[in-house]
Amino acid sequence: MSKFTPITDLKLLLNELYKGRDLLTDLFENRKAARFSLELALKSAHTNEDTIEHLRKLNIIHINGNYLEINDLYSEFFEEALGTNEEINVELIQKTVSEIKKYILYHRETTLVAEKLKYLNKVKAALRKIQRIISKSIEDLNRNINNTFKTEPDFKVKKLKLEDYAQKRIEIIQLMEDTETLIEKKELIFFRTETDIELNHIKIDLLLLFRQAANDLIHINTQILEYLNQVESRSFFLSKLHQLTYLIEQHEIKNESKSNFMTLITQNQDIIHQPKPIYALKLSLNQLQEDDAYKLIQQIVNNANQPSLPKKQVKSGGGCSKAEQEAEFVENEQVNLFELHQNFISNKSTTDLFNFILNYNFTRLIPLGTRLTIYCQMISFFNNDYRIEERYSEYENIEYAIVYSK
Amino acid sequence: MKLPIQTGEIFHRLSKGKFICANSLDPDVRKMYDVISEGDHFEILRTYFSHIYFDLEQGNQFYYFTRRETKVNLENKIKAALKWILIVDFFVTYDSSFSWGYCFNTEDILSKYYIDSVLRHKITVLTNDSEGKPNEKIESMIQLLIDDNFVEVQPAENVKKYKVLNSFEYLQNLILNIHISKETQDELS
Repeated sequence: MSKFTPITDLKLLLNELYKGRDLLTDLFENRKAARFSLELALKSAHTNEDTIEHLRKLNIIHINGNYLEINDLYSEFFEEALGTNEEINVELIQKTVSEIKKYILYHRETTLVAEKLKYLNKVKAALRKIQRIISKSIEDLNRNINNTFKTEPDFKVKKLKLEDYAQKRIEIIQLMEDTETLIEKKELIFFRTETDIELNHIKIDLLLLFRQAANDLIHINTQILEYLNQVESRSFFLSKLHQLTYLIEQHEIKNESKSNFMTLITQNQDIIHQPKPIYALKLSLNQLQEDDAYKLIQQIVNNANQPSLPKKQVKSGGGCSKAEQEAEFVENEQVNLFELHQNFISNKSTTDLFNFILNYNFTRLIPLGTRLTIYCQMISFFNNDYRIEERYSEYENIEYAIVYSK
Repeated sequence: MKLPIQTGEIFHRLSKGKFICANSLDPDVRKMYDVISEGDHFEILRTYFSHIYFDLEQGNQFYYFTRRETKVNLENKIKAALKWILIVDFFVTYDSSFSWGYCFNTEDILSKYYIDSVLRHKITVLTNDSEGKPNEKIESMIQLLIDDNFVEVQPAENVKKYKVLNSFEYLQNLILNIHISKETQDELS
């Protein structure tokens, strides 16, 4: 690729990385975000178009349309160096195990002491690398499983990822066994005869780590199985729910050949599906003797004594005509005509019947129309006791005969 | 047989068709749950209530009553069961992990409502209302869960938050217990 300027000098590379450190930090921190746009990069005070172009030429970053990406080579290196890589790299362990085999072979074959030392150092470095990868892999596996279970929204993907982690776990166990066989069986002579103290320490640490890791991996396995079970039962539930709603929408749910819904519901005796019971219990006579009950009874009596409005009046809401009101009074108010008559004849005053009734103090308010009716009824019932004069008088345009008691 | 002193309270709650959940936000309900779970209380109460024709049943971290029973309008029972299936379906469509222990608020569902036509369709079918305000419709759905004691309101400072109770498993089991014939399953999948 001619458009890139390859860097072959480490010092130069470090310098370039240092110069572009602000942009590279931004890009690295946003590596998990979907996109990092050119505009966003230029917002940073230390980044300008020249820096971007320069880093692009050196193949440290890519420009993809309007977006910037850090070159995988560097991004992986940074992740590895900073320990932020969440990918479980089983292949790396495999590669390292074969490297150890190779270095031991070289170590055995070479006759030069200096070379022997070089290969011994390589073996030690490789063993340390395995130790580091195994402990990090277990840590990552644990975290990734939990994260996947809790945050992955898609059930199918969640299941696939969990199955993938289960596979990774098996591979890690396999590699640990391979390394152990290498140390304790295949290359036993090398590890026994080599007198280097550090190698011995590394070997012991590594084997101890394997014991611990084996325990952790058993725990991880339980966790994966539990999560997979939960995902499985959840997806079973979701698919059942989906099928049921379809049957409901198609009005086929009650069809016995499709589902046992009807049988199940008919047999269901749970209280939640039953009407709330009303217990028509009798009052306890003993409780009624208590002070509290007395207060309550008083309250009920008071409430009962409150006159309730006649229904018709409530209904008409004040829009009822005067004639209607009067008709109602005739209906409701039973005036004792005989009593009224007695009062009139015992009253030897000069008042005539009309004025007597007009001013009579009834127990309740009686409108004029009703009083007129009473006047007419009195005359017709008790005319023998009355003296009806020939004269007429007038009251509010009503002409009436003047009547006295005999 | 020594009955726990809370027997009356327990009866009062359960006989109304409510649940006693271990993860209730109400300390009194949690206390009732602990009392039933303690020692041989469950067996004692179960025997005791059985004499008055109530069966104390145990779910996963919740208790409820069943009753060998009398006149229940089958039509109503069917309607209620169908309604519950659709309600569960609505909330599970909103979030497939909607289950006991899940916390949510109206705004969460509302934001999904605007972008998800399936959710909009489901709520219209359930509430039989295509014109009402979305948040009111969603709240009416949540209220159904609260009324039948599957969800409780979580005291929060600003937003009204809800928590799904253990009793939600009752609804899930109700759904899981329905057997769909093999042919129908094949047809639908």
